[in-house]
Amino acid sequence: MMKLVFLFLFSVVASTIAIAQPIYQTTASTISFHAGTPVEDIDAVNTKSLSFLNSKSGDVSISIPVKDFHFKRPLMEEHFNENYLESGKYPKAEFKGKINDVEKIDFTSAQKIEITVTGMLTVHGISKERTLTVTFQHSDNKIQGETKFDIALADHKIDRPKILFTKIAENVTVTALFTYEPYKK
Amino acid sequence: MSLIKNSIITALAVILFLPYSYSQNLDSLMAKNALEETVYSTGTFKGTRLINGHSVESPGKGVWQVMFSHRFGTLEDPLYSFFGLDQASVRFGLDYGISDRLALGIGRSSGLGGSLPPPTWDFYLKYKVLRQSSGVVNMPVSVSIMGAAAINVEKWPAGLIRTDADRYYYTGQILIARKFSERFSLQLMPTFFHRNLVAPDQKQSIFSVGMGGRLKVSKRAALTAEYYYSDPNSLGAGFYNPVSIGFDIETGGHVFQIFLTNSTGLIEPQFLGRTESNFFDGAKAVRLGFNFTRVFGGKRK
Repeated sequence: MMKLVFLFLFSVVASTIAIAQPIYQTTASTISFHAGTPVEDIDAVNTKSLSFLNSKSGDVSISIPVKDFHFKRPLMEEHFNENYLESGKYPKAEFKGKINDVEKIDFTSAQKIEITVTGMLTVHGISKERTLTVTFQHSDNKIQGETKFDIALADHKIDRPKILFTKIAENVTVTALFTYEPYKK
Repeated sequence: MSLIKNSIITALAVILFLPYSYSQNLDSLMAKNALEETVYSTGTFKGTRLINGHSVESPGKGVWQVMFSHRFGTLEDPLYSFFGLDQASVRFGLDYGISDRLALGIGRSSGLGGSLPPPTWDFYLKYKVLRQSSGVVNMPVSVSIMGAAAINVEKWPAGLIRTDADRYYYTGQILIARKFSERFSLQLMPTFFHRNLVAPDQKQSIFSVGMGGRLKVSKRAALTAEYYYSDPNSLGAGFYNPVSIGFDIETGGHVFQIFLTNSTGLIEPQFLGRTESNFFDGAKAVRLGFNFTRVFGGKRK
């Protein structure tokens, strides 16, 4: 009987340890983008994104509150929300993907590794499959992921009106830096 | 025998408890850990003016706004007067956002003779008391308060028995607005205004209530309407309440508002207190008006 109880407990503990470990949560995140006009730069930064990462299955999920992109000019921010991203209608941008060949990656190595992540990027209510190149680095039990890529506004049906006095670029360059730590319940 | 039994029990236990641990997928973690936030409504109106009067909006921190406002003559003989251009009154204004909530402005309006208001300097302060929001803080409306003072700088002919006090006007307003949807916003404006110089059948201090709204027809264009009611007995004989319907177009840093209205005044005591025609009399009462704004600056670090 003792043996039975022991086995039972062992299996419970073993399953929790084995499963609980690979989940990481963001403790800090910065997403910024850059879009130029002939007249001036348009830059915005968002530090309110939430992300989880499963280092075993390779699943990655990112949620970005659109209203938390902050601009240097208040009017730019208003236009971004009202006219371009329509954040009232589409309050969140999302990325849901999988790390490619995750089984070959050792997330605990202190070296910088370059990997690719393929998934759906949803912005302005429009989803688009994308493969991003991400640089990962591990230190002090933290994982840091960094990526930079271009988004064509047309891909997400973000209008660029022709009558605007200041025309914005067709593409915006997005930079993201996420710091993950093991998820604690 | 006991080995097989134990193995089966172990396997069962592992199978039973595995799904429990695995069920914690990323989606449920996402939902569980989502930040509790307050989302503030932005862009309840496109302009800092609804039509004649103020809206709850103000220029953001550090933003300068230049504003040209015109009220033409009536549309009675449009070809002769070029839609009333000949009898236009004009206000040139400058607004500044001290903070994202507090703004001030100064303006000079022109016009002399006939049904036009006198040349006037005006000053105002506007403060956003409440901002409509949802989430952690749930606030159904945005509320701004506005206080203004103006001085008539007309040169009065010698012999008129008037004092300097006769030149002053004051306005106090509470602006209450709700953005019901991305397209539709309404605003209620309880207003108090005072002028020192009045005709015998006019009251110096008048309380009026304004109502207005906007309906977006595209991302950058909207239909607007505005009406203020004051007791006609306190306005005096021959004066009417202002009615306006308009169209807003926003193009980046500009807001262009074009509208039909029955008032010539460009500050509250004038468009509320001395509108001389009844909007519903048609072309001989209605005139074209427009406000044109351009913003500068407002770069924050």
